[in-house]
Amino acid sequence: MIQLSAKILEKEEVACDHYRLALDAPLISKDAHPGQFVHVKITSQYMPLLRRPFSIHRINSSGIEILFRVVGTGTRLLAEKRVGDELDIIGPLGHGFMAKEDTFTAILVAGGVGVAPLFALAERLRQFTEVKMLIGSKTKTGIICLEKLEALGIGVQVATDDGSLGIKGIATDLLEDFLVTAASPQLPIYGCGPMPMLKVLSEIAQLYSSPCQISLEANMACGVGACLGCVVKMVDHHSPSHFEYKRVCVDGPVFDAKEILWR
Amino acid sequence: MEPNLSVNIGKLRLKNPVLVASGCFGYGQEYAELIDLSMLGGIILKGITLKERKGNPPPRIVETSSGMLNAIGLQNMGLSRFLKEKLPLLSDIPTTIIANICGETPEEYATIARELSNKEGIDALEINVSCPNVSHGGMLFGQDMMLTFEVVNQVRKATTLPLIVKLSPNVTDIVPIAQAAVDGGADAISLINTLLGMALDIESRKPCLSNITGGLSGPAIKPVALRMVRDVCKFVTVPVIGQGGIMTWEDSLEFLLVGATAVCIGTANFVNPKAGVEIIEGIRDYMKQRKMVKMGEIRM
Ligand SMILES: Cc1cc2nc3c(=O)[nH]c(=O)nc-3n(C[C@H](O)[C@H](O)[C@H](O)COP(=O)(O)OP(=O)(O)OC[C@H]3O[C@@H](n4cnc5c(N)ncnc54)[C@H](O)[C@@H]3O)c2cc1C
Ligand SMILES: Cc1cc2nc3c(=O)[nH]c(=O)nc-3n(C[C@H](O)[C@H](O)[C@H](O)COP(=O)(O)O)c2cc1C
Ligand code: FES
Repeated sequence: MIQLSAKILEKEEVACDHYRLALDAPLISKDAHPGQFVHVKITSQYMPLLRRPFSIHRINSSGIEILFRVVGTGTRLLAEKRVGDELDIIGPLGHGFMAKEDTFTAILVAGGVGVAPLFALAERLRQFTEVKMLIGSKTKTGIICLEKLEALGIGVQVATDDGSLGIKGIATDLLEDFLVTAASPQLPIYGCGPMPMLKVLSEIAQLYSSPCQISLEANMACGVGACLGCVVKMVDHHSPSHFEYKRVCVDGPVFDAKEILWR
Repeated sequence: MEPNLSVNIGKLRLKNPVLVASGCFGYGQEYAELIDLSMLGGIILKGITLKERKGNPPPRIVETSSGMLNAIGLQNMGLSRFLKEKLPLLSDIPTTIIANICGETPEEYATIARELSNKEGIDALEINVSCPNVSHGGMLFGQDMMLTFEVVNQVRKATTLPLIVKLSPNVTDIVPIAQAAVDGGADAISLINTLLGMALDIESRKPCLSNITGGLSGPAIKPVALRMVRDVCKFVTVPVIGQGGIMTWEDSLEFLLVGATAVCIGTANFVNPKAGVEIIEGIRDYMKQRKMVKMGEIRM
């Protein structure tokens, strides 16, 4: 973990309201794992005041990339940055995916911009195993990274709510279809996306006895485990109340789906 | 001449007047990879209660204009696990360590204080009578003169450690409460804790925090904090630790000018983990430029 000023090396508008930034940060990328994140100070002003967390989208020797969707003040300002601008970032932070290298097929399920961290995982896993990526979004403009994933030799299937690309439905429909016909049982599943999707995902994983790791989001202040602001409710067999709050920033953001107490 | 930044808080000597605030710096180790902890004047630990507290359900924090609301609800492992798991790591940190304690009754405060006394790694106690996010104790004590006196007095009898009493701004007049803390045996007063506030999400038509209300911190509260620190400094005879919205060395100087002996950095750590260290450098440069040699010369 290090705090540094990273120069923006590349900027690309990958889709409407979706941007990719390549950051000059070899000191972060050398220790980074898929599923970890960086905590970004977007402006030196007080609005927004707090840092914003973004998953590490790609890891290479010169640094890392992030991929984000504009949703509010911070991401709008970030989208206005130019190549050559400097960003104050802290990373790599959190616990990433535990990549299982000994299976035949890994299934990655992404909702919308949830593709961001799964891309880094796909790049890592494809060195050992076959990778299957299932992506869902409201409509086809929200399906990102498709060509890039296919260029890596990763099989991608798409679902959109309105049927404008791929099947009409949601990413977890694709997952069920895939698992029903899969030759081998208990294929590992990795997921990132909105909470309702992740909840369904973990239910399906349990049904098929698949190990399932998912990346969660929460409002964050410190990003390093100090403020206890980012907690999620988790199973705790030792506690009389059978639950405990864990910090997304340091205990996660990637958790075993079985550990999460869904609302 | 190199200025001397050390200050005395009662019998506690700090190498410089910049502390990091309770709940904003964990138990110190969380930030060890990002800054040199030995540079800080001291670290005030996350609030400790007698029993474990799970804290409030999420969402616990939300950003507001130039500030943030938090309703952590004093999540902590409780005194006995703290002594076992965290205390042994503290003596390795080469700066002053202050434990922040919170109870549901005056007796509970005293029990925690007694247990933390004569322990290597704890140099002083900060009595939190100002947490706005718990339903028993906390701020309820700090809103009442008699109860504040009672808590401080019981703790005073239980320990010889230097006692700092942390006050809530959520009161009509803070001065008599500060005086009650001094009468109870406080060696120093620290203020302000967070201001009670709330925020709504107009899309979901619900409060942003599951606890509905939370404590406001960050630059938004600095003017309020400064006014209250000045009021208390003018009245009480013990040292005052000023806090609330300090982001830069310039902010910290305003607090020192109105009479604070030391300052405490909270929310700024989240924004910039180096804030405390940069503020110390800023104060040093300010003194050098004005040929000041000791901290006492800053006060206006
Ligand atoms: C570990 C982690 C990794 C993340 N990785 C990525 C990533 O790779 N790409 C990406 O685009 N986003 C990612 N996010 C989400 C991203 O941090 C938020 O979208 C961002 O903080 C919003 O900032 P803002 O100032 O633009 O929005 P704000 O003005 O703070 O909020 C605007 C709206 O967005 C909603 N919002 C805020 N934060 C989140 C959130 N965390 N999740 C969902 N909605 C939110 C708010 O409720 C509000 O309605 C990640 C979050 C976490 C915790
Ligand atoms: C997330 C968070 C947790 C806090 N936890 C505590 C606590 O446990 N005990 C306490 O006395 N104050 C606590 N505080 C209050 C701070 O110590 C500080 O007094 C307050 O935030 C004002 O300073 P600031 O504006 O610099 O943050 C907390 C504040 C925040 C933001
Ligand atoms: S963001 Fe502070 S503990 Fe996770």
